[in-house]
Amino acid sequence: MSRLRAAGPSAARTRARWALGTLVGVNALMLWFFLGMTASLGWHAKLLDETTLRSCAASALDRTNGDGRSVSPWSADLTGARFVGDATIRFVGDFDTYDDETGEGTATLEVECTLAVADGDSSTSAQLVVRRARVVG
Amino acid sequence: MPPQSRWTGLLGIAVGNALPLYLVWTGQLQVPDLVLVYFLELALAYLVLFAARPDRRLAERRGGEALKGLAAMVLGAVVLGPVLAIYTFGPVTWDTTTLWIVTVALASTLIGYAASIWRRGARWREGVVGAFAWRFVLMVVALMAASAGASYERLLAADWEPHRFGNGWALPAGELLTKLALALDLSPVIVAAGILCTYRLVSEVLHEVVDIFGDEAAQGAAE
Repeated sequence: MSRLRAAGPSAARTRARWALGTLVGVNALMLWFFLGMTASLGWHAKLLDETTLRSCAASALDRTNGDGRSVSPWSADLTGARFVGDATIRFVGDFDTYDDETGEGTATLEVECTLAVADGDSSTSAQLVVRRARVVG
Repeated sequence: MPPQSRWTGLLGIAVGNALPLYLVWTGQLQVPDLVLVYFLELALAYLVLFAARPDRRLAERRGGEALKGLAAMVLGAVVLGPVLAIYTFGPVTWDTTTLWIVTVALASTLIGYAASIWRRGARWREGVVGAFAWRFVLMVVALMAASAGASYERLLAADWEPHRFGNGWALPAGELLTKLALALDLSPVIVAAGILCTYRLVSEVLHEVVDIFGDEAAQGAAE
């Protein structure tokens, strides 16, 4: 006979309840850690999403367009995004260009972009906004 | 021969759940293969649940309700199945290891179901809902772990260093765990497999402990 059985059915029930409580508590704790990590990593990886890079490119190129010259960010192949600051990224894109004098062409440009959270929204599904974007090379 | 203690079964559960982590660690198993195994286990659990659905016996008496239950199950599978399948099968690179791991996992799951049905006899339907629910939770955790691994990989490739951006640390625990992974220089695949295998291992070991204590309490009450 085990020590548990010798202690009686009441002690066995208490131990079973404790075990169940531990299972629920540990499970909730693990999910809290793992969901938190997944949400946090996903949130930060949003800075590297293609839609984010394209918004950055559009914002940066907006200033360079005009006077018969335009660079389109929408068909560009954007690669090599990397962090150069807390919320600042740099990436390279092969952009389609149009110039009144030379016609259509392609330009490889490097863009630097600083991002912020829209309206100070604190949720991880918040929209990102371009705070500053410029062509650096 | 003295009857084998149920406590020794914990070792089997621990080894069975730690093995995939070891295989990922040594590069013999990919995270998408692991997710695929979880998907197939879920599909099998669904088939068993479908075969065992309690409303089958009510069908003769209350055809309408039985049909509603059947329709809900079929609809759930039609809606959720393809979504889960897309996320599961998309990243899998089919090779010998994948086929080997799928065969072993399916065989062991089928043997597990056969043993369970044989042991319970006419009461084989008991517990199939819980088993399916547990597989579903594991599938969700598997996709979550794979997503964490993929995000972590992208961030590492972009020279990311942890910082507070907006409320980017969704939960303080997430920040702690991410910084721990960075400090330990864990690779993205270890992060993903670590989440998945740790969650399953700890949960299943604790569940077995609850089961053992529960049975002892029931036995004590009966005596």
